Amino acid sequence: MSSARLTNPDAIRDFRMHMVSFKEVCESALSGSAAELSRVRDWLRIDQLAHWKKQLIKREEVYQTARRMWLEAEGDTVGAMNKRGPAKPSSMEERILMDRARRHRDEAEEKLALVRRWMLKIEQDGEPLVNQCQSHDFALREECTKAITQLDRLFDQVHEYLAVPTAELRSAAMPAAEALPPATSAAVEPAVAPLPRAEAPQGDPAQPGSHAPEAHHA
Amino acid sequence: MPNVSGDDALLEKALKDLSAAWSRSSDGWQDAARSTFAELHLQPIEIRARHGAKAIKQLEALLAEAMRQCS
Repeated sequence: MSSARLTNPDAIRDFRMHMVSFKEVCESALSGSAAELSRVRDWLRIDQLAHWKKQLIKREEVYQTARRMWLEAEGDTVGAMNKRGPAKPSSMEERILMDRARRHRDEAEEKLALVRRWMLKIEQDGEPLVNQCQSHDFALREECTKAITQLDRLFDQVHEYLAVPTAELRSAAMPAAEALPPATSAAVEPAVAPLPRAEAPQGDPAQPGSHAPEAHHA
Repeated sequence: MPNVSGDDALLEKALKDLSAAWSRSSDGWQDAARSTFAELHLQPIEIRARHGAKAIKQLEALLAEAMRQCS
């Protein structure tokens, strides 16, 4: 038999409230992983793939135009030198424009390849992580529910021991949505045995929060 | 472009808050049942939640990198 040293039964109730909040955050955080992956996958497949395909077509056209202009300028430069006509000193400006257009086109090509690679990588690396999140989500739901049930049981046992109507206390202390069946349910094995009457506290049993003296669990 | 949720940080914070609440509860509750509860329920939950937060963090890093590179 061990000393309970439960000087404030509300400590269990307060911690239970934190456990319920924690469970809600876990569910919200972990269950959103699949949707998050899906959003990015759609963004890659629908938005970015289409965007860079269009960009590649557009930039290829710009490059081809720039290339034609450079070739014409080259011809003009050579022709002017041979015929001694109106001189076009150089095709350097057209060359610079063509090189810039080619770099832009190459960039679009690289982006398109990158989007395709990431679409694959998201499937290969992202899906297992989502599965992990879902697995932790299910396990945490179960573990938190068990923990909350156990806190309910402890709370009930303490108040039973203190001879305070627990239904009254629980309805006042806990949200209705989280109220659980009585601790006498056969579904969960109690962690502590019913408190022996012989070791009942000497304090006022009608005031559970009034720092009851040491109780003893079996 | 989709936003990265930051759920890993939320989960880490929730874990920290739970741990702090547990420590505070020791002011009014110190017995064998508390130790048993910690061992059977709280510790597995903390371990599980840390693994969950890690998985979310890795997923978010992956998605953020995909968005950064493909924008």
